[in-house]
Amino acid sequence: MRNENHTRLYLYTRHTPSPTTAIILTHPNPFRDSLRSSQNDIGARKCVDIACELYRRNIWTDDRTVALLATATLSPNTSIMTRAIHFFLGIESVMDEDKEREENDEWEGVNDIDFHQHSRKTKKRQNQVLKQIANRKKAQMRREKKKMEDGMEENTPNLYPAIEQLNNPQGLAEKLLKKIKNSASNAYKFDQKLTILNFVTRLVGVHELLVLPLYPFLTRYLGGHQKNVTNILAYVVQACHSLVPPDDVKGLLKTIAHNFITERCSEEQMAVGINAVTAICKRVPSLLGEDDDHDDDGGGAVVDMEAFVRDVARFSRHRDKSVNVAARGFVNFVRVTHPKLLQGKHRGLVGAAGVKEGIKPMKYGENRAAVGVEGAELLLEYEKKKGMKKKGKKDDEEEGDWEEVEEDEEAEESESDENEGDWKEVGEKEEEEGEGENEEDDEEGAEGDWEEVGEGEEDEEEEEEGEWEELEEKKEEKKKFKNKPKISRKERKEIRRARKLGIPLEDDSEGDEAPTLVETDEKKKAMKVRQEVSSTRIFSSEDFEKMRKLAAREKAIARDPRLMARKKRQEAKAKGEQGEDDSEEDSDESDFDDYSDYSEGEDDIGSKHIIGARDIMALSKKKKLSKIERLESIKQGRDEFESRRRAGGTTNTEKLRKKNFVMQSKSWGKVRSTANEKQTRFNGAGQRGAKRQMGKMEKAGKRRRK
Amino acid sequence: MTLFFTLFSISDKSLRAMVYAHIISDLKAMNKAGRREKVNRELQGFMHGIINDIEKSKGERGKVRLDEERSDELITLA
Repeated sequence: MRNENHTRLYLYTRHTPSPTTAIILTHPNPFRDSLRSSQNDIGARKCVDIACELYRRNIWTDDRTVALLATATLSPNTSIMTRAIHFFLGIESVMDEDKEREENDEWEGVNDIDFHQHSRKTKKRQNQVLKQIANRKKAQMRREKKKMEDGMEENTPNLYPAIEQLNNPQGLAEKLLKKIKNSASNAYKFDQKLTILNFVTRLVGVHELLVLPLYPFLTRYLGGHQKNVTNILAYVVQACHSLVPPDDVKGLLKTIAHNFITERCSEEQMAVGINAVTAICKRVPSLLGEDDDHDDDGGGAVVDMEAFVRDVARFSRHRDKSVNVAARGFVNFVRVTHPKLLQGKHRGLVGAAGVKEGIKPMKYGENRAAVGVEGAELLLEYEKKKGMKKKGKKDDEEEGDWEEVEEDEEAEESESDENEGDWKEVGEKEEEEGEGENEEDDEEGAEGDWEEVGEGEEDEEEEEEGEWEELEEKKEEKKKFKNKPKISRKERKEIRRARKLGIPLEDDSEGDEAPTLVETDEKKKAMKVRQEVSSTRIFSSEDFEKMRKLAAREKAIARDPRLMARKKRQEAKAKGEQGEDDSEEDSDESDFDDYSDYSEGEDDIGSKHIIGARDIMALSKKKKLSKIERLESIKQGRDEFESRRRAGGTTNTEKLRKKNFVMQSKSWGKVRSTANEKQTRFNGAGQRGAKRQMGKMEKAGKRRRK
Repeated sequence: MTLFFTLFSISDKSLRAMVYAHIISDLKAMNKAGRREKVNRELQGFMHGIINDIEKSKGERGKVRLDEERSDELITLA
């Protein structure tokens, strides 16, 4: 409180109130009350400023401060209101900037070392320099580490955005909307209205609110000649999220289509309009899926989505680049989400595959519950394959063969139970081995359970059993991989017998693995496996990573027929030369990276990120110069290529450089010579030198003899 | 501390700026060692009151403003 005392002192001693203040404070004045109240406004404004500043400095970042500012947004005083709204809209970026600046300042401070180059070097100074260098090194390490972390994953912010800490966003949004809706035309300036709109739409987007009167209100601002349309379109996009009923958005879509995406509009308008439509469709996925049932007789604008999509798609061959790019973006998006809406020529490879697969966006309110962890069954398959290969590498060929035979046999077994007896024997052997050798394994308990269940169900359901086996078998393999398997002679005999039975069936089971597109049975089976795997096994983070990648790959393959063909080819190849090759496996690993791009678009617009005008802006292009401008530039001439800027003739190097190529062969001193020529010349000189040396030595010898 | 907030109602810009800077630096110093919830809470309540005050007095103030304008007119007429 020392500080406070200081201020008080200042107030009492130094500060002499201005005469007007004195008068106001002392004299009874008819205007005093009114002045007071306006000064009260100042006080409130200052309060808002203080709260903002303290939030910015990370001192008051609790929800009470946010609540305080939220009430300020509803203040009748416009300046207080805009201050508070600006706080909510931009505080995060300001804070980020602050942080960055602070870091940079810090770094610059550390980086700037005084080496005492121009002063006397004393011991003390030397120590100082050393200290500074050490500090810099430390700071650099810290910086690099941070950079690495930033690159690795988005660092979680230590603070939630202020807008997310609001208590009652729905009420706030509704009240604010009411305010601008009901206000007289000149109550707020246009800019202020825009800021309020921005805030309301941001609230709606971030909290996924349902403020239905907002959408018809927004259409009012979507005239073709509206000021700041790009911004308003950005707000429109911001207000859309997956929980908005598509009927409400359709009106917006229709207005945008009428006012922006027509030939009479300027190219830039068209591009912006198309971009906005794309963004809206991304955020309200059910919009594209609505076309199938045209049963909206009542309210809401009726838009034939198919016709609309085809209309927009036609712009993908527009002569203007920005429109062209925007429309292609739209077409690409539709290809992935609902390719059926597009004409055949616009579908492309991806779209055609999508139609085949029957890709459709989810309907409004539809939800697909996740069954297990995505990609769990793929992980299983992958590990199986990998384990097989590793085995093949380590053990001798026979054993490698045995592995695959056994597997094939078991896979086969799930379909027909001809060899059941055989399998049982092998399985039991394995069981014994597994339990005997890995008592300490923590998976053991789970495995035991499986075994029991598997055996119990064996007689009843053959299909189920097949899956259990798969699990079992994978586990077994894992274990064997851990501690090198010792397979008894007896077992080998068994194996050979199994192999005989297995070989003719091999092709059959392999053939089943390559899936045709529409195989619901296969899918169901996979789902079942996935569910079981994810409910019985504990995944490590690496497993999750791998599963993510595998799932992405699978999706990409389903979507892209070229990838599908590649996969088939690879499979065929693998079948052809199964066993010893590890190169294939390597390619398998490296494949992962390629598919990461194919993973479902997690771009900024799709999720509930903040949308700025920048996101839907038309592609900027170089404008053509007018004729006058061109003439002027010609008159100016160009000086970039003028080589001579000095008096005198050309230098020798210049002559060399500019020598006519054809004349070079006839040149007196060869200008250019091939590396080979140079080499021979050099060698010749060397030899000549050596000869000369020899000659000298001979002469000397002769002299000596004399 | 609340005294300083009342000081905002004095129409002297430099003084207000100083008070503003003082409040912020003071709060910063206060919360440096550890959050002082009680003080913060009180102050926030107080500020909330100030901001809310305008909302309530808006109606009255509208009248006052009208009066003011009228008196201005009178002054210019005179």
